[in-house]
Amino acid sequence: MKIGIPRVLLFYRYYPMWKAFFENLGLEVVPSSITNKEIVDTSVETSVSEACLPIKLVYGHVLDLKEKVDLIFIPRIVGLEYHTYMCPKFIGIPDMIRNAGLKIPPIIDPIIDKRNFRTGFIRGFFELGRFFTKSSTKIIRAYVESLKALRSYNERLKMGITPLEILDNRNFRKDGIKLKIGVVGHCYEIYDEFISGGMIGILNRLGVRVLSMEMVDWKDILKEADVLPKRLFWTFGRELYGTARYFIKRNLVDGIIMVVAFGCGPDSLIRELIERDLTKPIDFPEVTVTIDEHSSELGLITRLEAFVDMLARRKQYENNLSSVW
Amino acid sequence: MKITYPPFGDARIAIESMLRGLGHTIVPPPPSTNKTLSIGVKYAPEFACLPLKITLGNYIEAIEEGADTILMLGGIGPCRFGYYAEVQRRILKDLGYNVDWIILDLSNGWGNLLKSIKRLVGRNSPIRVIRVLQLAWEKVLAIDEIEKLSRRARPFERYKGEVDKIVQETHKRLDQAESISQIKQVLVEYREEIDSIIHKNDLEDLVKIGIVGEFYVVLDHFTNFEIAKRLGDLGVLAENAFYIEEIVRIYFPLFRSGDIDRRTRVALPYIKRSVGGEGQRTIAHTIEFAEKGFDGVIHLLPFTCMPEVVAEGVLERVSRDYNIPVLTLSIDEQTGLAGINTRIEAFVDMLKTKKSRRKVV
Repeated sequence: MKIGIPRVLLFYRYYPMWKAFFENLGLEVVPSSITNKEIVDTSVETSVSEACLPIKLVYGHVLDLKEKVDLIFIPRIVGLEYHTYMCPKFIGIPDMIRNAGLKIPPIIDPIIDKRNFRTGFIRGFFELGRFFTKSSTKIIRAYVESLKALRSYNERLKMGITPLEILDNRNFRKDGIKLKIGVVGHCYEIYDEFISGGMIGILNRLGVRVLSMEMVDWKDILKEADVLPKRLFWTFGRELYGTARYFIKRNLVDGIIMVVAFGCGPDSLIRELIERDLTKPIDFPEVTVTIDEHSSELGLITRLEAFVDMLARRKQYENNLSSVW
Repeated sequence: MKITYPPFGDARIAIESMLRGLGHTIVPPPPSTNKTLSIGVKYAPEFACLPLKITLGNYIEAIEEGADTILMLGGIGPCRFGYYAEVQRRILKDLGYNVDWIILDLSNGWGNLLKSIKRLVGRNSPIRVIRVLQLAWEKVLAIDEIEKLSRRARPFERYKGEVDKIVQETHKRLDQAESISQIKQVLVEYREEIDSIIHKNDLEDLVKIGIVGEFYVVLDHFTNFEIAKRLGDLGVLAENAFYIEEIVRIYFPLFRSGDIDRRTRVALPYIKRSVGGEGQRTIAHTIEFAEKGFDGVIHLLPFTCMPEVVAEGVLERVSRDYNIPVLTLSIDEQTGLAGINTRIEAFVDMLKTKKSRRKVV
């Protein structure tokens, strides 16, 4: 049996884990194609016009898989942390796809709910495994294997390799690096090269080393976000705020690029928090890139070049600036 | 301490009654206008949802009038509403307004919630507090009844604005009522006046439209362009899926009833798990209206509202399955009155034609 995994949302974060799990249960895993114009067009046609681009793309990627697989895997992710939610659209996406009137293979949507249950992850995988096998030992073995796969994937990320290099066989140059920039955004925005307009590649060509959340220890990031007087109730929000604070406080980067999808609910507020709490008070260089299906690559290149030039000049005269932290 | 609050719709009567009863000086925010909206839009994050912008405008207008404390609710997500207070607090601070916040929020633990409640209650005795809450609750129920009846009467108005006049009078008297029996008296008189307008025999022939969606937009008359009034003027019986009572029941566990969960259950085949806000309930209410024989449903949401976007994605299917037309109106600061009017009128025309054809057959 072939199971299709759309290359959207948490794909760049959990694909190796899901792949290992399914393969251990004897399934063949087929990821959807890398986002292209055709996928974007079908997405825009079939989806809710008000959703953010990453959610819209789920429609296109599912349709891309339609002919190739027997089942489609769209987990219903309620929470990745105890007492913390995902964006409502992550909770509702299987329902949205199922009721969109697309003629597609059956959808498998296990609930991954770490918000209410500390054991949410293993519960979700058990529910998932039950679709294919009755044997609990088989599921547990597959789960252990999948955790191993995830761990080795995360270790490689922490060495500074981007998910694109691991999963999509891209190559980025390692020499001639003059600046470090932290890209603060969700993995499905930064690493989907259509959504981000190939931002990582452009920055790399400009001689910038990109740091992203994936390259830092998750727990450390979340610890940074705990300084907020009211705990954020979105895991993603905590991640973004924590990443920005981590990078700025430890002086790891020369500047920050925030990537925000048009219409993203949590980010509309998180951006405001980051700007008002972290970057504005100390004049830390920051640029926000808002993306939607109409964004053009040229506009992006212009802005990134300007930002990088500005940082380079600033670095040159850094000795003239007072240190702020 | 001069206290102000985020107003929505007619709920202000009940909120003011409660605050006044607890002995606070209140500075009610001036009624929302386009000016309120433009103040809010100017300072709020660009992509935040509309209620955040309007309430921010309300606060600033109230502060200009002398308020120094803001009463607000918090939340535990996943809807953005739960973080409103935090963001608005920062914005007001950066603008240089020095205000105190009383945030009723459970996410920082019971201790903090109790502290906020204590500030609100002050030195009132528990019995007094219970009486005040009781009175406010009765006012909520009265406001809802006034609203419900006014919607039945509006299609039969003898002259334009007749019902509005009665409602405004009644609201004023309700505002002054200081005991439950007085509220009852106000309602009795109101019912009499309204009943004389309604033609009971023709009620069944009216086109009936249900209104579902996100609570602030559904209940706040300014935000939804007084959609109920507009529909009434077009000769349509417009009914809300919920009124203020249900919102209070949802947000305050003290008043919670199992009824809400029971009502939501019909949505399970479409949205299996709550997606926060009103997302799942929107589906349930739409199904409910279809089963009650309504002719159409209008779905209201603030632009980019996350739970409602999920609902919107599913509504098309519900509309087809239950054979009920749905018009989705997503509202933000760019929405124009003319656009809303045109769409409502077209929708009502379509429903009227459909209804009259059915009758002929």
